[in-house]
Amino acid sequence: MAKVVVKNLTKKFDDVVAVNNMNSIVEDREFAVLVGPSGCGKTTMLRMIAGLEEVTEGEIYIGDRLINNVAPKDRDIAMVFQNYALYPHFNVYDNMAFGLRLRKTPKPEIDKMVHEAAKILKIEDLLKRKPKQLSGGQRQRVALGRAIVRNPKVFLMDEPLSNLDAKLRVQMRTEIVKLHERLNATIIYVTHDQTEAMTMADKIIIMKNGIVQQTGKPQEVYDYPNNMFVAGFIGSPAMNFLYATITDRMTLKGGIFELNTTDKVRKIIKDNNLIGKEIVIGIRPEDLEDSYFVQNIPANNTITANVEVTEPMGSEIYVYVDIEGVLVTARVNPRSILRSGGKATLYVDINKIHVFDKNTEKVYI
Amino acid sequence: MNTINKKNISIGKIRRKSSRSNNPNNIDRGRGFDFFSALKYQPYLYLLPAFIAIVLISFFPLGYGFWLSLTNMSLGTFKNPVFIGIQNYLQIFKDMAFLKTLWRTVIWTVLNVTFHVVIGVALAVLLNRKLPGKAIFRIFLIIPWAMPQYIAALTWRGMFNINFGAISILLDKTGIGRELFFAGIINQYPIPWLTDPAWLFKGAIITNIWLGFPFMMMIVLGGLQSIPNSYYEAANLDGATGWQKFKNITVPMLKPILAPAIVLGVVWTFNMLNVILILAGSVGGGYGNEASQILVTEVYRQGFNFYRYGYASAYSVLVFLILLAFLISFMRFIRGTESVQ
Amino acid sequence: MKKILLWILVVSMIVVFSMVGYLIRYKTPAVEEAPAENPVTIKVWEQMEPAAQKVFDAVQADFEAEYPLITIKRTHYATEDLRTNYLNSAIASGGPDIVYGPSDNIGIFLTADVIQAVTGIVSDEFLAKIAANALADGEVNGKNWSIPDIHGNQIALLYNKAYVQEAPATWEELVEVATATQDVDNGLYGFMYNEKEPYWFVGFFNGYGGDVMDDENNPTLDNEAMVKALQFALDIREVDGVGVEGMDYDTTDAAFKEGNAVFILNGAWSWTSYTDAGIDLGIAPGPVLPGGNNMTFYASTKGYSVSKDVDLTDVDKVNALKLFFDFFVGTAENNAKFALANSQAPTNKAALELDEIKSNVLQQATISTIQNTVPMPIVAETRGIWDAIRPELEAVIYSGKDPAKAATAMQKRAEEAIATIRVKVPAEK
Ligand SMILES: Nc1ncnc2c1ncn2[C@@H]1O[C@H](COP(=O)(O)OP(=O)(O)OP(=O)(O)O)[C@@H](O)[C@H]1O
Ligand SMILES: [Mg+2]
Repeated sequence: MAKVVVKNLTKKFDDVVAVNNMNSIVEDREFAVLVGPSGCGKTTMLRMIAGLEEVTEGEIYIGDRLINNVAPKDRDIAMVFQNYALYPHFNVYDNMAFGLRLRKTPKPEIDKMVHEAAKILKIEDLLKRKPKQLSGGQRQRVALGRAIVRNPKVFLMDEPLSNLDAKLRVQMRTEIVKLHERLNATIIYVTHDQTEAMTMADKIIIMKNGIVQQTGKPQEVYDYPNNMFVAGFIGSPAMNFLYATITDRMTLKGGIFELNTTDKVRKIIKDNNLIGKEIVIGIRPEDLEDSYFVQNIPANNTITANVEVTEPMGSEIYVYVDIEGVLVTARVNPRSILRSGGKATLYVDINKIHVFDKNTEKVYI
Repeated sequence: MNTINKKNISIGKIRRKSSRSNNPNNIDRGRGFDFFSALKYQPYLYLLPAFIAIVLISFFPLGYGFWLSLTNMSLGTFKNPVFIGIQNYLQIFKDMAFLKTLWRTVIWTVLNVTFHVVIGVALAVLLNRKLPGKAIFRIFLIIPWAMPQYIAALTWRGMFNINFGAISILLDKTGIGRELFFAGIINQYPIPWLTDPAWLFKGAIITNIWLGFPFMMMIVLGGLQSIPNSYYEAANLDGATGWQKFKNITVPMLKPILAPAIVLGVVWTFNMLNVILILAGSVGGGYGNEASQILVTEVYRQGFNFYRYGYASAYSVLVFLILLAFLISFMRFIRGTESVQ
Repeated sequence: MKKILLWILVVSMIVVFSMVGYLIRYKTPAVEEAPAENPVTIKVWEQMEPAAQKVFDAVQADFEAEYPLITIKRTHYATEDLRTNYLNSAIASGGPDIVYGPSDNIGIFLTADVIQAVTGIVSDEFLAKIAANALADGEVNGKNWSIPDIHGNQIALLYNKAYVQEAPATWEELVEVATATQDVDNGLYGFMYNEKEPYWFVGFFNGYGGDVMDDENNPTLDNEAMVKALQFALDIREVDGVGVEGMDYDTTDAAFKEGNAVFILNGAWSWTSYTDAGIDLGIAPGPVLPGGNNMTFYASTKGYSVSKDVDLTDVDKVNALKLFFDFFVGTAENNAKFALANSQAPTNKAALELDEIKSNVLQQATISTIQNTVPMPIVAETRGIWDAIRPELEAVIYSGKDPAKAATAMQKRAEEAIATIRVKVPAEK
């Protein structure tokens, strides 16, 4: 059992609170991705689990064992560093074998394990080389290999793909996911790239300023973000936010638009006594469409605005329109003839819109 | 416009042109003097000032010294020295003292540099840790290096005095000196540091170790700070002990910095004139017993005490060759132990 | 584009080079373009104490005021640098007309053939103004090679009047007083000196009738006098029970300054530092050695020598040099100034009679102790002598080497060293 549990975990560097009262559970054999903007405390969190950073407050369990005071080497974890930290003067084989040797593993066994790992990672013909003679992707594999041979219960990976080019990154993404299936181990993976999080994770843990914002399956956090931060952080292109006031007629009224609401929304307006208040509407780009391609549009389900830029992507077109000074992205039908400089009437799928509190940024729906 | 491109300055091209080949591609053929193709030597022109400077500063004195070593230049033949071939060298080798002094110089250099490196690395590793009052320790440890050598050596001489010196008093008051004597570790007590040539040599080694370790320490400290911490963290996860980390990470990662520092250290120490002369109290002209001299003090003695310029030059040339041989083999050794970069 | 840049480069290089060439060509003669009055520049390289340099500047100002056509250019060097640079300037160029330094430079310069006898410049009447014993110090092969301006450097017996009122006349008396006064446990030593320096030791050797070299400058160290002197040096601590092991220049000097030594042997250069340190200083000639001989230390001079490059047919230059020597050494008042600045005796006979000298206690002590000295040998071979004495002296006093054996070894060492110094053209075999 290698469940990783974090209770009330806090880390302070003098005045900086890097991780603030964090509570999380990563289940056994789960692929958990810790995601958040730069400086939000992801690395600090990971390093505390690894034992490279002292815990200021709180508890960390691996399995059922409290490991706050357990030496890194006894935590049964392996870490893949962002810069790989391959020993430059050892060849690939020795890099992978180093930890085993220190553990006094018998030679034949080391040999077996290194070759096995090398086979999985397809680096068998690189074993004699030094790290300097490897490409970035190859080094990445060696770093993984070094973690694999240890056969740990938990893998910790700190932005392992950030040094690779875009194409290789995509490729390695799937490889790591496959590796996870094969290894049957718990993985805690740190990244600031939400795409990586979405594509790889069983569970996403989203952090901001040392505080966990939301935890859940990728689709869950995508569809039901807790707050504006999560809503804006997950998804690409990002969610659009527009200010609006709730009218007596329970419509959402901005300067140049007025949108109808669904029953669900109306109920929430009533429950929360929101009439006459200003709120934030969140609309994902895919929930905006060129009205030309939509049949039977009810009244007040469109917004008309000036087109600033269009970006044809082949399968769709990104249309950027200016709504009251906010650049709003819409993913429209590829056959749309909207062009910059012109006007666009965009259909809004009001079933999918989110409403946030303007002050607390918490989600109402 | 493209007259001057890389191709035109390849050696092959220059040779071909100067040998007036019939190469049909030779674009200059049939034209008159073309200033710019004459300037295919242009890169060399740019190098010329630096080249002249190097010749003047480096090669000329070297060559002059070598020429002097083949002459009988001395005080009496000062204005018109005569070429005498390798007689100076023969005379040096005829003298057993040369080999003895060479051997002593080797001991001197090896002991000094070894201790410089060992102490320097040890202190640097300590200073690289989180340590209360680190800045103050660092300043104290750099002092030997910051102090003018002359003053430091004079101070040590004072400390070595058999009756009044701090070291003698310390050995006496603590009783350590007597213990060492009865244990047979030292053969004389109190220790005649300055008056017995063998002890003088030991005292000079101690002094020079003290003078030299801060340099290594600073170099190593710089090197240590450039080793990414993640190597140590990775090793921590692997379960490496302090010594294993030192051996497998610190030492190999320091090598590229230590190697040139050691080379420098060897050259400096091999040619360290001041410490022995000052300790022997013979700065103003006199010299201590031969039993405490090294090659370079002999060069100094022959050159500046007896004004035997030719003979001293021959000595210097030998010192130069010895150091050169050392450097070449040392660099080979380093490169041999090093992986492909 | 590239072509244009290249042209600019080439043209500017040509311009720069030709400008440099112009400067080299036309600047140099401009210096030598002499106006009708024939001004002369005298270049002096010296190795003077800071105080003496100040005196020099003052005297130079007076001199140049009196002889406006003559300019003195003084350059200061440390002892070794002066020797080396002066020798080098003789094969290169740009050396001085006059080189000033201690008399033992003379032997080296003479062997290297870079100075000329001063008699080519100054007259016998001028030389007659200078004290004979000082003049003798710069004399080799019957010729004078320097015009000395100060005389001294001799070692004498110094005593702290806080402990003893009068200087003992003999060594036995000294030992008696010293052992009675000293309190070694409390750090008061009866007698100290720089026991490993030949310059002190030769005082004993000379006293026993020795002389380091004969008339041909061959070493004469393996003799009765040397054995006696070595035995005496050895006995100071071992038999007489005064002195302390490890005493050298610094420890002796420090002990005396702090009032921790009753008697010491030290040179004239050090005396003012003791009075400055508040010691009630007594100065006397070295005591009579066991057996009735006087300790006889060396005295030496510092003085001006004339470069071999000075052209005696250059009347202006020769006249200027004459005036220079007359003013700086031949004038009693100026000579006294240098003597006082150096704390050494003047060489000008008239200066010896001046009030400022007569009334100066240290000057009088210097002048009187010089009477007991012999001139320090200045020939180049002397270096071989020092080099030979030192290790053998140390072997005797520190390791108990037999004095007779040490004397023999010394002689051998000296012969070898001197042979190397004497190398002459044509090539050695
Ligand atoms: N050793 C340290 N001393 C002081 N402050 C630190 C230290 N390490 C991290 N911090 C601070 O703690 C906060 C969290 O840092 P951390 O490295 O965990 O961020 P991160 O989420 O990994 O960011 P990134 O995506 O850029 O790697 C930051 O504000 C950082 O400045
Ligand atoms: Mg990070």
